[in-house]
Amino acid sequence: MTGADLRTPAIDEELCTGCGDCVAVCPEHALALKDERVTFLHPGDCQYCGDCEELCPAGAISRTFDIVFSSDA
Amino acid sequence: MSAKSPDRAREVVLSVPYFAHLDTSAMEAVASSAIRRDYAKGAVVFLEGDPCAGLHVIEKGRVKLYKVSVEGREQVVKLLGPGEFFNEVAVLDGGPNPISAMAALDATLWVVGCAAMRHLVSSHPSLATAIIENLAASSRELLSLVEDLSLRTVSARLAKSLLARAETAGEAPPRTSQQEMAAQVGTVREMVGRVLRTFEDEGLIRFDRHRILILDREGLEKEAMI
Repeated sequence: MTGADLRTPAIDEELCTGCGDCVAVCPEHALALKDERVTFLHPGDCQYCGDCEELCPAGAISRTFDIVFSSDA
Repeated sequence: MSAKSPDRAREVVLSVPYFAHLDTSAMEAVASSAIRRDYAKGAVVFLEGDPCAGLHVIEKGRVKLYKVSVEGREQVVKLLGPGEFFNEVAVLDGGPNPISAMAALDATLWVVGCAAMRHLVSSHPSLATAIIENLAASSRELLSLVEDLSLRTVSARLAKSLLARAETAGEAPPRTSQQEMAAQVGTVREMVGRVLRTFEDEGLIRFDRHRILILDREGLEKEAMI
């Protein structure tokens, strides 16, 4: 896999409250709390599903996307 | 960091399409009055309501012009890149900045102060013409934004935004988040998420990890009402 394929959602450490909801919801168990802030413990396991982004009550997690026509992909 | 470099300033002024027809004295006058400023991605260039910050010309990077509601919701008005300038409204009418500006990517800007700019405009007709043409183009874009926000549904606005982004794929900024899409189309992140899932269910797009693939361009154009 290339570096781009392993991109994980961005976590805004200033917004993160350390509630841990994202850790609990991640189906791949890729997240963990460290020093009261969430981090990707297993970034290679992240499937970019977005469950963490949807659930985060502080809006601290966001996925970025490249938007392309499938014919150009 | 700020610095004056007349040669570089001259090159930047010449790179602005609207300044292509400036006579030599006007071009020299703008270049000699401009001061360079560098901004890291995310840095605020100036805020809406603050005293006129001057005319800003973009040498490198991207700048986002936006407004923020009292509840903190952001509406992106325009994204600008190299060779473009902004904040001419405040320069021309002497009022406060009508909008806020932030570096969407690391940016190098050249700034001409309000008083200096007003003097230059009044003494160089070719500069006044260039600014008027830029204002006219901005007015067209704003009218299109008004049309989008008032006459298109959120789904239509988002479809239009996806198509526009795909058509400029490869140009900076290359990636966008759902929050950024929401700020551009005038809604909230959760709504963007719902609409994108609907588009996926309808076979218009597909999420492919960090990419959104537009599968049915014609269908999305129909959704965008264009």
